[in-house]
Amino acid sequence: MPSGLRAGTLPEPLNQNTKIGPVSPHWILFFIFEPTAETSKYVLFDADNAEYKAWLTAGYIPSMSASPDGRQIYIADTFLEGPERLRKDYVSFYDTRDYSFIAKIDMPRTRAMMGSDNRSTVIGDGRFLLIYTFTPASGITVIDIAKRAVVGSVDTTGCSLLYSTGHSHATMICGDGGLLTVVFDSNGRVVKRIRTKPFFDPNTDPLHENATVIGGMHYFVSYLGDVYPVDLSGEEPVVHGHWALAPRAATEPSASSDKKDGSKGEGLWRPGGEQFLASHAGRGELYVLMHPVAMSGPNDQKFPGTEVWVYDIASKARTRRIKVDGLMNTIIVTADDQPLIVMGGSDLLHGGHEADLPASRQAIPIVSDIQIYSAATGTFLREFKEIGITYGMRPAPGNEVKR
Amino acid sequence: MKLSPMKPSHLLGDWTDRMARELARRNSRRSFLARLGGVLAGGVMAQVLLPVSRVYGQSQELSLKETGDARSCDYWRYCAQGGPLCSCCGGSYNQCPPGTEMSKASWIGTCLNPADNKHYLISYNDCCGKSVCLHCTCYRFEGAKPVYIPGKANDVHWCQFNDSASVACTVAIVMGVAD
Amino acid sequence: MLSRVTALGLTLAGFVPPVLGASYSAATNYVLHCQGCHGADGVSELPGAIPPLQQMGYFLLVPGGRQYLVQVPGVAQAPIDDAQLAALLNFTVRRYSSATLTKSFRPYTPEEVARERHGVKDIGGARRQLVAAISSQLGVHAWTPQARSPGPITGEASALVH
Repeated sequence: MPSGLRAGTLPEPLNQNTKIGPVSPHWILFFIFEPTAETSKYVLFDADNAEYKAWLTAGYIPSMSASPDGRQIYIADTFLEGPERLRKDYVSFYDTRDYSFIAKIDMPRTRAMMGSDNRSTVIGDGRFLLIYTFTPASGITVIDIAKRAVVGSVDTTGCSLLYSTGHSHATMICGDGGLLTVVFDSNGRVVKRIRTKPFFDPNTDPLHENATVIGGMHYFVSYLGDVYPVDLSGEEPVVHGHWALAPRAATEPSASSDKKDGSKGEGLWRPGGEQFLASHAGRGELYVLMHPVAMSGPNDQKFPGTEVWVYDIASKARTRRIKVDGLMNTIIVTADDQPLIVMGGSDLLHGGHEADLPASRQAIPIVSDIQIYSAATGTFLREFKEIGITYGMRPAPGNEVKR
Repeated sequence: MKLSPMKPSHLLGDWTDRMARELARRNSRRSFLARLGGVLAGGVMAQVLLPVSRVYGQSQELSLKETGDARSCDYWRYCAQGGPLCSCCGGSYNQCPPGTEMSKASWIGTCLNPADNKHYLISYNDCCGKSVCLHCTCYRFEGAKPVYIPGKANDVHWCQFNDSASVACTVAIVMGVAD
Repeated sequence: MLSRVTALGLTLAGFVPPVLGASYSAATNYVLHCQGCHGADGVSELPGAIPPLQQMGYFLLVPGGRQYLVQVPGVAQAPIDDAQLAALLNFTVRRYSSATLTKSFRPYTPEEVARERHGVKDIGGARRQLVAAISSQLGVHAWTPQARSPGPITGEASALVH
């Protein structure tokens, strides 16, 4: 008898509930958009072995957060129901041990549906889920997670999105170029609002919506390529100035493509894509998907990257350039001490940019291939073809960096 | 203090819509398209509504020269088009496909029309109620801002305020000359 | 090659979006910054969520209302200078709310707009107070948003810091 079998035991039990097992820091949760089905998936992906571990099905333009202990996933979601495709909103609760559905609550149809991350967040060390609402006035709905109930709503007209460190407060970006922090008490009620003065110009150089976070420090990047470190660990945001990822004007010597002495400069480069910004706390590095403006033309905030530029945060200096194969629009770096760079993209362009591109260059939303590199050496390790249309990813819940 | 009741304010909107339909009906489709001077690759789109200015004080009948392929992302109206073109899906650049409904809110930007070198106001409404038609999708961002400036963001799903939030495609309606 | 790159460089360095650089008429600015939600007629297609502009004049008749209209984020954050914003406010009030204007209506000036537009407040709380004042002083039931969120509006403490 083969080892492992005992008399009277079926070798393949039926009705098993497969569990995920211990989560590795090299596991990534991808957001996958299924536009014609009006659904999404959150795919748990093992970047060491380039394989699926599990997934959740979600709805239309969802927004996902996880509990600080990584045990639960919360999705603020919308499903279009019936032949009339009527909008119905929910908050769904999932168990990360087996990626199973636990519960849902019916919600009013107020959550913001936008092509950006950062539309929900968990605060109160796991007690409250905040959802950014848009009616089109903006606001926050507060949910008591243990009770699975809405406890209130906040009017935050003029400010949008949600960034938090998980403690008592959450911060929004305002249309005047400043921030609003809303502070909550232990019952989920607002006790204070703090509004900063504008520190960026939303008309000439707005901040991209995505940020990469180390501790409480949120690194934002502007359209023209300036990094704005903003510390959100205390109630009052602290902006630590800004510094440039690359020369901003073609007249700067290193940028000019045709220099006076006839040699070629590297031209203007800018960040762009969807989730194009990553970081590694231990290495103190920023990783940014960059593209040459000569390729994209202006209005290039979503143009994917042809290279990853790596910066030492302390010295604000670029230390490495990693060429990528194709055009990447999402990037993440795992937080462990053998970090991987995981990127999503394709070699196709998405729809019509101003530079000298064929007029017929139109594409359906791009199905991404995943590329995995060693962060330390910049060498390509492996890829996974056609994971789906992805606009973002995060470390698998269970790998939360302590904030 | 008693104030007089508000004058019904929807009449102006009704009037311009009726005017546009009347004008479109009076002109044959072929002559209308000839006057447009457009080069429409791959056959003719579904009926295009006559452009009408909705800017207060501008003459409503808008004489608008247009050139180019309305199914190409480089078409002048699509300078901030962040989504699928209704003109490839049974609609047109200013009309929703059959059985879909225009979004109740939108964002409005400007595009430069190379045919006459003027900036025009463009309303990027979504058409709602059916799952997306993806034949031609464009991703351009001229004048578009991040979603925290929602009035200038093409990354907002503008169907979210309709009964059905399904986005079928996006139109680019000329609202008038930017002056 | 050189001329194309140079042209690109000039475009990028001097790139000013038409909305920001131009000085548009109030009518055009209304379309650009208001019409997408408030509609061509000042009456939106979301009457439960978007206030009708026909009621702007009521706010001018109660204390704090003038400032409120400037501080509404859609107004205060409009990417136009103080002079254009004053002109836009006056245009909008006159076009949509003329029936509520009295002889004592003082048009907005650029100086007033400059003073008020950066004074950030709790707009939701301010509106609630003004609606109450409009009710008690004018006998008018001003528009309020349809409640779409369950649960109370969570209590606000004192004025915003900063």
